[in-house]
Amino acid sequence: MKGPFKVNDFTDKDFFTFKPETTVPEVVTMLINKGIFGAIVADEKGKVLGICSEKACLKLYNDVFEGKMTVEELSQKKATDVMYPEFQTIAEDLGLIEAAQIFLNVPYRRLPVVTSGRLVGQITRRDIVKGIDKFIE
Amino acid sequence: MNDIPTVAEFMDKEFTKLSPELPLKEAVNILIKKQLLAALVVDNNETLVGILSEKDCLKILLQKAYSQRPWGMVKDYMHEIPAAAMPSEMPATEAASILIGHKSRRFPVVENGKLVGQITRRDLLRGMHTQLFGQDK
Repeated sequence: MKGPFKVNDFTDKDFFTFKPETTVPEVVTMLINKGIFGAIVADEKGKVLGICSEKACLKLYNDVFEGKMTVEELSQKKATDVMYPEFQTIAEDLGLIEAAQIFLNVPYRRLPVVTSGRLVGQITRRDIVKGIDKFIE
Repeated sequence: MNDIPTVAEFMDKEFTKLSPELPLKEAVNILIKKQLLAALVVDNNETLVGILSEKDCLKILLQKAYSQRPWGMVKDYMHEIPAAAMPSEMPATEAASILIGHKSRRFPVVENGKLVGQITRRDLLRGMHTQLFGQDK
């Protein structure tokens, strides 16, 4: 394996974030259309508020199908209602192997990459699998 | 909502199956190329023998990064199916409740004991979203 590689080499900097006020049906449309399983929720200043979860979305939709909530109520739910507010961040200069170990120990597949407290990108477990796969013969 | 759909309506019948004898390197490439988070492992008799996830692949790639260990086959790294298969006539709401409470996002679907498909959290979310808001909201 060549290296050493840093998180920065595999960070996705061209990612999109949800605004806190994005509605849940809009969130789900984006997740489905983009084929992704979660996204970072950030405010206008780039402050990370949480990570949207597919599971939390499914729970709300299921509430509608089980008659516990109306479609109108679902339509008014926001990204902040389907996010994990607690999350781990990854430093941009962390080594790829160290980052891989973090991903093996957390239930998330997507973490925000920060430098001096500012959101600069995101990295997914998939980015790391691709990264390591590429540099192993 | 009165008409609760069944698992059969939302399940995926044309899903990717991996052979237990497939070299792991090829399996990793399939997961990356098809953007899959995991795939069911099915033998020649169409019997479900395991599941290979992105996390399983990350573990072996990490080991490969440290040692010259040879690539094995899918069967060497797959894990056991974490839960019993779902019958195709199960109501989608019940399936959703199981998937919400479970770590695994993918369940095999059976009819009379025969594997007929798989259902993921994404399939249920997409199916419910389409029923509530239409195809291209």
